[in-house]
Amino acid sequence: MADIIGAGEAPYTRHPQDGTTTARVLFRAARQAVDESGIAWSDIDGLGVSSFTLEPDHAVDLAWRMGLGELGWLHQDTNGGASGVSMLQAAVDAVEAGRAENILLIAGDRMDMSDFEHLVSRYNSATAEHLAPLPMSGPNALFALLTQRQMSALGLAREDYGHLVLSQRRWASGNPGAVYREPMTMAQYLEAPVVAPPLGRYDCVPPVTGADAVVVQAADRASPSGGSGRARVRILAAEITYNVDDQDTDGLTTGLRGVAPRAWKRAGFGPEDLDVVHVYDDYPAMNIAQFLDIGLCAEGDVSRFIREEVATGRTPVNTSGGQLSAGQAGAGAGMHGVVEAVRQLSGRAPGRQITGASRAAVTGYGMVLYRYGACAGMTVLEAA
Amino acid sequence: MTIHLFRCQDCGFRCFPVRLACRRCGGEGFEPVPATRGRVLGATPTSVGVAVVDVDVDGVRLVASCPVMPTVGEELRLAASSETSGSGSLLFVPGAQHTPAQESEQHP
Repeated sequence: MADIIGAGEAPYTRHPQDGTTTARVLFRAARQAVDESGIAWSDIDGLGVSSFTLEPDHAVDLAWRMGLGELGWLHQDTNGGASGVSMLQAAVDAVEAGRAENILLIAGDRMDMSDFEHLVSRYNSATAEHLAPLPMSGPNALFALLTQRQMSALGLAREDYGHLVLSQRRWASGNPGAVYREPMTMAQYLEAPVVAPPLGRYDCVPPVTGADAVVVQAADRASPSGGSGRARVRILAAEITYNVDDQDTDGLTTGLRGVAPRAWKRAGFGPEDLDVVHVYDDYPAMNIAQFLDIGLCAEGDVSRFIREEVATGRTPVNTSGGQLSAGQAGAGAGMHGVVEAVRQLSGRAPGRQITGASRAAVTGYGMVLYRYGACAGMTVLEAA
Repeated sequence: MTIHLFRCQDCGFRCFPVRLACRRCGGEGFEPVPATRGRVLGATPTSVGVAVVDVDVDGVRLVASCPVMPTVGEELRLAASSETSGSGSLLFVPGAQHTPAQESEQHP
Protein backbone atom coordinates (compact mmCIF):
# COMPACT_ATOMS: atom_id res chain seq x y z
CA MET A 1 0.00 0.00 0.00
CA ALA A 2 1.14 3.53 -0.69
CA ASP A 3 -0.04 7.01 0.16
CA ILE A 4 0.19 10.41 -1.44
CA ILE A 5 1.51 12.73 1.25
CA GLY A 6 1.84 15.96 -0.68
CA ALA A 7 0.59 17.61 -3.85
CA GLY A 8 1.63 20.73 -5.70
CA GLU A 9 0.93 22.68 -8.84
CA ALA A 10 2.97 25.29 -10.64
CA PRO A 11 0.65 28.14 -11.65
CA TYR A 12 -1.00 27.57 -15.00
CA THR A 13 -0.60 30.34 -17.56
CA ARG A 14 -1.59 30.75 -21.20
CA HIS A 15 1.37 32.97 -21.96
CA PRO A 16 4.55 32.11 -20.07
CA GLN A 17 6.98 34.86 -19.27
CA ASP A 18 10.14 35.07 -21.34
CA GLY A 19 12.77 32.77 -19.95
CA THR A 20 10.29 30.27 -18.55
CA THR A 21 11.70 26.78 -18.90
CA THR A 22 10.08 23.40 -18.51
CA ALA A 23 12.61 22.44 -15.85
CA ARG A 24 11.77 25.47 -13.74
CA VAL A 25 8.01 24.88 -14.04
CA LEU A 26 8.43 21.25 -13.01
CA PHE A 27 10.62 22.32 -10.10
CA ARG A 28 8.01 24.76 -8.84
CA ALA A 29 5.34 22.08 -8.67
CA ALA A 30 7.80 19.65 -7.09
CA ARG A 31 8.86 22.08 -4.40
CA GLN A 32 5.27 22.79 -3.46
CA ALA A 33 4.44 19.09 -3.21
CA VAL A 34 7.47 18.32 -1.05
CA ASP A 35 6.89 21.34 1.17
CA GLU A 36 3.32 20.24 1.71
CA SER A 37 4.35 16.68 2.54
CA GLY A 38 6.42 17.85 5.48
CA ILE A 39 9.44 15.79 4.51
CA ALA A 40 12.79 17.32 3.66
CA TRP A 41 13.97 17.82 0.09
CA SER A 42 16.86 15.52 0.91
CA ASP A 43 14.42 12.74 1.88
CA ILE A 44 13.39 12.29 -1.76
CA ASP A 45 14.98 9.07 -2.98
CA GLY A 46 12.84 8.35 -6.03
CA LEU A 47 11.79 10.47 -8.99
CA GLY A 48 9.31 10.06 -11.83
CA VAL A 49 8.95 12.66 -14.59
CA SER A 50 6.65 13.10 -17.55
CA SER A 51 7.12 15.98 -19.98
CA PHE A 52 7.00 16.57 -23.72
CA THR A 53 9.37 19.53 -23.69
CA LEU A 54 12.12 18.63 -21.27
CA GLU A 55 14.43 17.70 -24.15
CA PRO A 56 17.35 17.51 -24.50
CA ASP A 57 17.29 16.75 -20.78
CA HIS A 58 16.03 13.54 -19.26
CA ALA A 59 14.80 12.59 -15.81
CA VAL A 60 18.30 12.24 -14.41
CA ASP A 61 19.27 15.68 -15.73
CA LEU A 62 16.24 17.14 -13.99
CA ALA A 63 17.15 15.36 -10.76
CA TRP A 64 20.62 16.86 -10.94
CA ARG A 65 19.33 20.34 -11.76
CA MET A 66 16.82 20.21 -8.94
CA GLY A 67 19.53 19.39 -6.44
CA LEU A 68 18.14 16.03 -5.44
CA GLY A 69 20.39 13.46 -3.77
CA GLU A 70 21.21 9.98 -4.97
CA LEU A 71 18.07 8.14 -6.06
CA GLY A 72 17.17 4.49 -5.72
CA TRP A 73 14.43 4.73 -8.33
CA LEU A 74 14.17 6.86 -11.46
CA HIS A 75 11.39 6.73 -14.03
CA GLN A 76 10.69 8.73 -17.17
CA ASP A 77 7.16 8.35 -18.45
CA THR A 78 6.13 9.16 -22.00
CA ASN A 79 2.42 8.48 -21.84
CA GLY A 80 1.08 12.03 -21.90
CA GLY A 81 -2.45 12.19 -20.56
CA ALA A 82 -2.11 8.73 -19.09
CA SER A 83 1.21 9.46 -17.42
CA GLY A 84 -0.27 10.46 -14.06
CA VAL A 85 -1.79 7.05 -13.44
CA SER A 86 1.10 5.32 -15.17
CA MET A 87 3.63 6.94 -12.83
CA LEU A 88 1.45 6.34 -9.78
CA GLN A 89 1.26 2.65 -10.57
CA ALA A 90 5.03 2.44 -11.04
CA ALA A 91 5.67 4.41 -7.84
CA VAL A 92 3.37 2.19 -5.78
CA ASP A 93 5.22 -0.86 -7.05
CA ALA A 94 8.54 0.79 -6.25
CA VAL A 95 7.76 1.76 -2.66
CA GLU A 96 6.17 -1.62 -1.99
CA ALA A 97 9.33 -3.28 -3.29
CA GLY A 98 11.46 -1.07 -1.10
CA ARG A 99 13.24 0.62 -4.00
CA ALA A 100 12.57 4.02 -2.50
CA GLU A 101 10.72 5.51 0.45
CA ASN A 102 9.69 8.93 -0.79
CA ILE A 103 9.02 9.25 -4.50
CA LEU A 104 8.42 12.57 -6.19
CA LEU A 105 6.29 12.41 -9.33
CA ILE A 106 6.19 15.47 -11.60
CA ALA A 107 4.46 16.12 -14.90
CA GLY A 108 4.20 19.30 -16.93
CA ASP A 109 5.46 21.46 -19.72
CA ARG A 110 6.18 24.90 -20.96
CA MET A 111 3.57 25.03 -23.67
CA ASP A 112 3.38 28.29 -25.57
CA MET A 113 2.02 28.36 -29.12
CA SER A 114 5.31 27.42 -30.77
CA ASP A 115 5.84 24.55 -28.33
CA PHE A 116 2.33 23.32 -29.03
CA GLU A 117 2.70 23.54 -32.80
CA HIS A 118 5.98 21.68 -32.65
CA LEU A 119 4.45 19.00 -30.45
CA VAL A 120 1.37 18.31 -32.54
CA SER A 121 3.17 18.28 -35.88
CA ARG A 122 5.71 15.73 -34.72
CA TYR A 123 3.76 13.90 -32.05
CA ASN A 124 4.76 10.53 -33.48
CA SER A 125 5.69 9.10 -36.86
CA ALA A 126 2.08 8.36 -37.85
CA THR A 127 1.13 11.97 -37.14
CA ALA A 128 4.13 13.40 -38.96
CA GLU A 129 3.71 11.18 -42.01
CA HIS A 130 -0.06 10.81 -42.37
CA LEU A 131 -1.92 13.50 -40.45
CA ALA A 132 0.10 16.71 -40.43
CA PRO A 133 0.23 16.80 -44.27
CA LEU A 134 -3.60 16.49 -44.66
CA PRO A 135 -3.31 19.26 -43.33
CA MET A 136 -4.23 18.65 -39.71
CA SER A 137 -2.76 20.79 -36.95
CA GLY A 138 -3.62 18.85 -33.84
CA PRO A 139 -6.24 16.34 -32.85
CA ASN A 140 -9.36 18.55 -32.98
CA ALA A 141 -10.63 17.04 -36.23
CA LEU A 142 -10.17 13.49 -34.95
CA PHE A 143 -12.21 14.22 -31.85
CA ALA A 144 -14.80 16.08 -33.88
CA LEU A 145 -15.34 12.86 -35.81
CA LEU A 146 -15.56 10.92 -32.57
CA THR A 147 -18.03 13.42 -31.12
CA GLN A 148 -20.23 13.13 -34.22
CA ARG A 149 -20.38 9.37 -33.80
CA GLN A 150 -21.03 9.65 -30.09
CA MET A 151 -23.90 12.10 -30.59
CA SER A 152 -25.45 9.73 -33.07
CA ALA A 153 -24.88 6.57 -31.04
CA LEU A 154 -26.12 7.98 -27.73
CA GLY A 155 -28.72 10.42 -29.01
CA LEU A 156 -26.98 13.44 -27.50
CA ALA A 157 -27.39 17.11 -28.35
CA ARG A 158 -24.75 19.83 -28.28
CA GLU A 159 -26.43 21.12 -25.14
CA ASP A 160 -25.47 17.91 -23.35
CA TYR A 161 -21.82 18.66 -24.04
CA GLY A 162 -22.45 22.26 -23.12
CA HIS A 163 -23.71 21.28 -19.68
CA LEU A 164 -20.42 19.49 -19.05
CA VAL A 165 -18.40 22.50 -20.12
CA LEU A 166 -20.53 24.95 -18.13
CA SER A 167 -20.40 22.75 -15.07
CA GLN A 168 -16.63 22.68 -15.15
CA ARG A 169 -16.51 26.43 -15.64
CA ARG A 170 -18.61 26.85 -12.49
CA TRP A 171 -16.16 24.69 -10.55
CA ALA A 172 -13.27 26.68 -12.02
CA SER A 173 -14.70 29.87 -10.58
CA GLY A 174 -13.66 28.51 -7.19
CA ASN A 175 -10.17 27.55 -8.29
CA PRO A 176 -7.72 30.46 -8.43
CA GLY A 177 -5.36 28.25 -10.40
CA ALA A 178 -7.72 27.87 -13.36
CA VAL A 179 -6.93 30.04 -16.39
CA TYR A 180 -10.63 30.53 -17.27
CA ARG A 181 -12.90 31.29 -14.32
CA GLU A 182 -15.53 33.64 -15.71
CA PRO A 183 -19.05 32.21 -15.75
CA MET A 184 -20.25 30.96 -19.13
CA THR A 185 -23.79 30.71 -20.46
CA MET A 186 -25.19 28.03 -22.71
CA ALA A 187 -25.65 30.66 -25.41
CA GLN A 188 -21.97 31.57 -25.22
CA TYR A 189 -21.07 27.90 -25.50
CA LEU A 190 -23.32 27.24 -28.47
CA GLU A 191 -22.39 30.42 -30.31
CA ALA A 192 -18.64 30.12 -29.85
CA PRO A 193 -16.50 30.00 -33.00
CA VAL A 194 -16.58 26.62 -34.67
CA VAL A 195 -13.31 24.71 -34.55
CA ALA A 196 -14.26 21.47 -36.33
CA PRO A 197 -17.97 20.67 -36.43
CA PRO A 198 -19.49 19.84 -34.06
CA LEU A 199 -16.69 21.13 -31.83
CA GLY A 200 -16.67 24.77 -30.85
CA ARG A 201 -13.98 26.73 -29.07
CA TYR A 202 -15.07 25.66 -25.59
CA ASP A 203 -15.00 21.97 -26.48
CA CYS A 204 -11.24 22.10 -26.96
CA VAL A 205 -8.67 22.32 -24.18
CA PRO A 206 -6.58 25.47 -23.97
CA PRO A 207 -2.86 24.59 -23.86
CA VAL A 208 -1.12 26.19 -20.90
CA THR A 209 2.27 26.21 -19.27
CA GLY A 210 2.23 24.50 -15.89
CA ALA A 211 3.05 21.38 -13.90
CA ASP A 212 1.63 19.10 -11.22
CA ALA A 213 3.41 16.96 -8.65
CA VAL A 214 2.76 14.52 -5.83
CA VAL A 215 4.89 12.74 -3.25
CA VAL A 216 4.26 9.01 -2.80
CA GLN A 217 5.32 7.14 0.31
CA ALA A 218 4.86 3.57 1.49
CA ALA A 219 1.84 3.41 3.75
CA ASP A 220 3.72 1.42 6.39
CA ARG A 221 6.64 3.83 6.44
CA ALA A 222 4.80 6.79 7.76
CA SER A 223 7.47 7.48 10.37
CA PRO A 224 10.07 8.47 11.39
CA SER A 225 10.72 10.37 8.14
CA GLY A 226 7.10 10.05 7.28
CA GLY A 227 6.25 13.66 6.86
CA SER A 228 3.98 15.80 8.90
CA GLY A 229 2.11 17.40 6.08
CA ARG A 230 -1.60 17.87 5.82
CA ALA A 231 -2.29 15.41 3.04
CA ARG A 232 -2.37 11.67 3.39
CA VAL A 233 -4.35 9.95 0.73
CA ARG A 234 -4.23 6.20 0.19
CA ILE A 235 -3.80 4.85 -3.33
CA LEU A 236 -6.28 1.99 -3.35
CA ALA A 237 -5.80 1.19 -7.01
CA ALA A 238 -3.76 2.40 -9.97
CA GLU A 239 -4.58 0.41 -13.07
CA ILE A 240 -3.65 1.19 -16.63
CA THR A 241 -3.56 -0.33 -20.07
CA TYR A 242 -1.34 0.57 -23.01
CA ASN A 243 -1.47 0.09 -26.76
CA VAL A 244 -5.20 -0.21 -27.24
CA ASP A 245 -5.30 -0.28 -31.02
CA ASP A 246 -7.15 2.74 -32.29
CA GLN A 247 -7.88 1.25 -35.72
CA ASP A 248 -9.95 -1.53 -34.17
CA THR A 249 -12.77 0.60 -32.81
CA ASP A 250 -14.79 3.73 -33.38
CA GLY A 251 -13.17 5.45 -30.41
CA LEU A 252 -16.34 5.58 -28.35
CA THR A 253 -14.82 3.35 -25.71
CA THR A 254 -11.36 3.60 -24.21
CA GLY A 255 -9.02 1.16 -22.54
CA LEU A 256 -10.76 2.08 -19.30
CA ARG A 257 -13.55 -0.31 -20.22
CA GLY A 258 -11.19 -3.18 -19.34
CA VAL A 259 -9.27 -1.37 -16.61
CA ALA A 260 -12.15 -0.13 -14.44
CA PRO A 261 -13.38 -3.52 -13.16
CA ARG A 262 -9.87 -4.27 -11.93
CA ALA A 263 -9.62 -0.90 -10.24
CA TRP A 264 -12.99 -1.22 -8.49
CA LYS A 265 -12.10 -4.72 -7.33
CA ARG A 266 -8.85 -3.53 -5.82
CA ALA A 267 -10.54 -0.54 -4.23
CA GLY A 268 -13.27 -2.64 -2.68
CA PHE A 269 -16.08 -0.35 -3.79
CA GLY A 270 -17.65 0.96 -6.96
CA PRO A 271 -18.46 4.20 -8.73
CA GLU A 272 -21.63 4.71 -6.70
CA ASP A 273 -19.47 5.23 -3.59
CA LEU A 274 -17.37 8.10 -4.95
CA ASP A 275 -17.51 11.61 -3.53
CA VAL A 276 -15.64 13.23 -6.40
CA VAL A 277 -14.56 12.16 -9.89
CA HIS A 278 -11.88 13.50 -12.19
CA VAL A 279 -12.03 12.26 -15.75
CA TYR A 280 -9.55 13.19 -18.45
CA ASP A 281 -11.31 15.96 -20.32
CA ASP A 282 -9.37 16.98 -23.41
CA TYR A 283 -12.79 17.05 -25.11
CA PRO A 284 -16.19 16.69 -23.43
CA ALA A 285 -16.90 13.65 -25.58
CA MET A 286 -14.11 11.93 -23.72
CA ASN A 287 -15.76 12.72 -20.38
CA ILE A 288 -18.80 10.85 -21.61
CA ALA A 289 -16.81 7.93 -22.97
CA GLN A 290 -15.11 7.59 -19.59
CA PHE A 291 -18.35 7.98 -17.60
CA LEU A 292 -19.54 4.90 -19.44
CA ASP A 293 -16.24 3.05 -19.27
CA ILE A 294 -15.89 3.32 -15.49
CA GLY A 295 -19.56 2.59 -14.84
CA LEU A 296 -20.59 6.02 -13.63
CA CYS A 297 -23.68 5.93 -15.81
CA ALA A 298 -25.36 3.62 -18.32
CA GLU A 299 -25.55 4.09 -22.09
CA GLY A 300 -29.23 4.95 -22.13
CA ASP A 301 -28.88 7.39 -19.27
CA VAL A 302 -26.12 9.74 -20.40
CA SER A 303 -28.14 12.88 -21.06
CA ARG A 304 -30.05 12.60 -17.78
CA PHE A 305 -26.83 11.87 -15.90
CA ILE A 306 -25.18 14.98 -17.34
CA ARG A 307 -28.13 17.28 -16.72
CA GLU A 308 -29.28 15.97 -13.33
CA GLU A 309 -26.04 14.76 -11.76
CA VAL A 310 -23.05 16.52 -13.29
CA ALA A 311 -24.59 19.89 -14.12
CA THR A 312 -26.17 20.16 -10.67
CA GLY A 313 -22.97 19.18 -8.88
CA ARG A 314 -24.71 16.22 -7.26
CA THR A 315 -21.96 14.12 -8.80
CA PRO A 316 -18.93 16.41 -8.59
CA VAL A 317 -16.86 16.01 -11.76
CA ASN A 318 -13.59 17.81 -12.45
CA THR A 319 -13.86 20.23 -9.55
CA SER A 320 -10.72 22.13 -10.50
CA GLY A 321 -12.50 23.17 -13.67
CA GLY A 322 -10.73 20.35 -15.42
CA GLN A 323 -8.50 20.89 -18.38
CA LEU A 324 -11.29 22.60 -20.27
CA SER A 325 -11.26 25.54 -17.85
CA ALA A 326 -8.05 25.15 -15.81
CA GLY A 327 -5.93 24.39 -18.88
CA GLN A 328 -3.95 21.52 -20.36
CA ALA A 329 -0.37 21.73 -19.16
CA GLY A 330 1.08 19.27 -21.66
CA ALA A 331 1.97 16.04 -19.88
CA GLY A 332 0.83 17.70 -16.65
CA ALA A 333 -2.72 17.05 -17.79
CA GLY A 334 -2.24 13.45 -16.71
CA MET A 335 -1.44 14.51 -13.16
CA HIS A 336 -3.83 17.45 -12.86
CA GLY A 337 -6.80 15.39 -11.69
CA VAL A 338 -4.66 13.54 -9.16
CA VAL A 339 -3.55 16.78 -7.54
CA GLU A 340 -7.12 18.08 -7.43
CA ALA A 341 -8.36 14.81 -5.90
CA VAL A 342 -5.67 14.97 -3.21
CA ARG A 343 -6.73 18.51 -2.41
CA GLN A 344 -10.38 17.49 -2.17
CA LEU A 345 -9.66 14.45 0.00
CA SER A 346 -7.46 16.41 2.36
CA GLY A 347 -9.94 19.27 2.73
CA ARG A 348 -7.79 21.83 0.95
CA ALA A 349 -9.90 22.92 -1.99
CA PRO A 350 -11.30 26.21 -0.73
CA GLY A 351 -13.97 27.69 -2.94
CA ARG A 352 -14.89 24.30 -4.38
CA GLN A 353 -14.47 21.90 -1.46
CA ILE A 354 -16.81 18.90 -1.42
CA THR A 355 -17.80 18.61 2.22
CA GLY A 356 -16.64 15.35 3.73
CA ALA A 357 -15.09 14.05 0.52
CA SER A 358 -13.24 10.83 1.29
CA ARG A 359 -13.23 8.80 -1.93
CA ALA A 360 -12.20 9.84 -5.43
CA ALA A 361 -11.41 8.31 -8.79
CA VAL A 362 -9.13 9.89 -11.38
CA THR A 363 -8.73 8.73 -14.94
CA GLY A 364 -6.03 9.32 -17.51
CA TYR A 365 -6.18 8.94 -21.26
CA GLY A 366 -3.76 9.78 -23.96
CA MET A 367 -1.23 9.16 -26.68
CA VAL A 368 -3.10 9.37 -29.95
CA LEU A 369 -1.30 6.88 -32.15
CA TYR A 370 -3.19 7.61 -35.35
CA ARG A 371 -6.87 8.12 -34.51
CA TYR A 372 -7.48 7.98 -30.75
CA GLY A 373 -5.71 7.55 -27.42
CA ALA A 374 -3.92 4.25 -26.91
CA CYS A 375 -3.32 4.49 -23.16
CA ALA A 376 -5.91 4.72 -20.42
CA GLY A 377 -5.70 4.37 -16.68
CA MET A 378 -7.54 4.95 -13.48
CA THR A 379 -6.62 5.47 -9.86
CA VAL A 380 -8.94 5.18 -6.88
CA LEU A 381 -8.00 7.26 -3.84
CA GLU A 382 -9.26 7.46 -0.28
CA ALA A 383 -8.53 9.88 2.51
CA ALA A 384 -6.22 8.03 4.92
CA MET B 1 -4.44 6.16 -57.98
CA THR B 2 -3.88 3.23 -55.71
CA ILE B 3 -3.05 2.92 -52.09
CA HIS B 4 -1.47 -0.20 -50.73
CA LEU B 5 -2.80 -1.80 -47.61
CA PHE B 6 -0.58 -4.45 -46.13
CA ARG B 7 -1.73 -8.02 -45.66
CA CYS B 8 0.04 -10.35 -43.27
CA GLN B 9 1.37 -13.31 -45.24
CA ASP B 10 0.73 -15.63 -42.30
CA CYS B 11 -2.79 -14.75 -41.14
CA GLY B 12 -4.20 -12.30 -43.68
CA PHE B 13 -4.67 -9.41 -41.21
CA ARG B 14 -4.64 -6.06 -43.03
CA CYS B 15 -3.10 -2.84 -41.82
CA PHE B 16 -2.06 0.63 -42.88
CA PRO B 17 0.50 2.00 -42.36
CA VAL B 18 2.67 -1.06 -42.53
CA ARG B 19 3.89 -2.36 -39.20
CA LEU B 20 7.01 -4.21 -38.18
CA ALA B 21 5.00 -7.25 -37.17
CA CYS B 22 1.40 -8.37 -37.40
CA ARG B 23 -0.56 -7.50 -34.29
CA ARG B 24 -2.69 -10.60 -34.66
CA CYS B 25 -0.06 -13.31 -35.20
CA GLY B 26 3.35 -11.64 -34.93
CA GLY B 27 4.29 -12.47 -38.50
CA GLU B 28 6.82 -10.18 -40.16
CA GLY B 29 5.93 -10.73 -43.79
CA PHE B 30 3.46 -8.39 -45.46
CA GLU B 31 2.34 -8.15 -49.04
CA PRO B 32 0.91 -4.96 -50.54
CA VAL B 33 -2.75 -5.10 -51.47
CA PRO B 34 -3.93 -2.37 -53.82
CA ALA B 35 -7.04 -0.46 -52.85
CA THR B 36 -8.66 2.43 -54.63
CA ARG B 37 -11.90 3.13 -52.78
CA GLY B 38 -13.19 3.74 -49.30
CA ARG B 39 -16.45 4.37 -47.46
CA VAL B 40 -16.92 7.45 -45.32
CA LEU B 41 -17.35 6.78 -41.60
CA GLY B 42 -17.32 10.47 -40.65
CA ALA B 43 -16.24 13.85 -41.94
CA THR B 44 -15.58 17.31 -40.58
CA PRO B 45 -14.62 20.46 -42.48
CA THR B 46 -11.43 22.34 -41.69
CA SER B 47 -10.49 25.97 -41.93
CA VAL B 48 -8.21 25.32 -44.91
CA GLY B 49 -11.03 24.22 -47.17
CA VAL B 50 -10.77 20.45 -47.07
CA ALA B 51 -12.68 17.93 -45.02
CA VAL B 52 -10.92 15.49 -42.73
CA VAL B 53 -12.55 12.14 -43.23
CA ASP B 54 -12.55 8.82 -41.46
CA VAL B 55 -12.56 6.22 -44.22
CA ASP B 56 -13.03 2.47 -44.16
CA VAL B 57 -10.81 0.97 -46.85
CA ASP B 58 -11.39 -2.76 -47.08
CA GLY B 59 -11.87 -3.00 -43.33
CA VAL B 60 -8.96 -0.72 -42.36
CA ARG B 61 -9.87 2.66 -40.82
CA LEU B 62 -7.85 5.49 -42.30
CA VAL B 63 -7.75 9.25 -41.82
CA ALA B 64 -7.64 11.22 -45.04
CA SER B 65 -8.64 14.52 -46.60
CA CYS B 66 -11.34 15.25 -49.16
CA PRO B 67 -11.78 18.48 -51.12
CA VAL B 68 -15.54 18.47 -50.54
CA MET B 69 -17.66 17.57 -47.56
CA PRO B 70 -18.84 13.99 -48.16
CA THR B 71 -21.75 12.25 -46.49
CA VAL B 72 -21.45 9.38 -44.06
CA GLY B 73 -21.63 6.12 -45.99
CA GLU B 74 -20.59 7.72 -49.26
CA GLU B 75 -18.05 5.89 -51.37
CA LEU B 76 -14.87 7.80 -52.17
CA ARG B 77 -12.06 7.00 -54.54
CA LEU B 78 -8.42 7.66 -53.94
CA ALA B 79 -7.24 10.70 -55.84
CA ALA B 80 -3.68 11.11 -54.74
CA SER B 81 -1.18 10.16 -52.18
CA SER B 82 2.27 11.61 -51.75
CA GLU B 83 3.54 8.06 -51.35
CA THR B 84 1.52 4.90 -51.74
CA SER B 85 3.89 2.43 -50.17
CA GLY B 86 2.89 3.10 -46.61
CA SER B 87 3.67 6.70 -45.84
CA GLY B 88 2.31 10.01 -46.92
CA SER B 89 -1.07 11.68 -46.60
CA LEU B 90 -4.13 10.38 -48.37
CA LEU B 91 -6.54 12.37 -50.51
CA PHE B 92 -9.88 10.92 -51.47
CA VAL B 93 -12.46 12.44 -53.78
CA PRO B 94 -16.12 11.54 -54.17
CA GLY B 95 -17.11 8.59 -56.29
CA ALA B 96 -19.76 8.91 -58.96
CA GLN B 97 -22.74 9.45 -56.67
CA HIS B 98 -21.70 12.44 -54.57
CA THR B 99 -24.44 14.36 -52.81
CA PRO B 100 -23.22 17.37 -50.85
CA ALA B 101 -23.53 16.78 -47.12
CA GLN B 102 -26.46 18.47 -45.45
CA GLU B 103 -25.96 20.40 -42.27
CA SER B 104 -28.13 17.95 -40.37
CA GLU B 105 -25.95 15.09 -41.51
CA GLN B 106 -22.82 16.85 -40.36
CA HIS B 107 -24.31 17.55 -36.94
CA PRO B 108 -26.23 14.49 -35.86
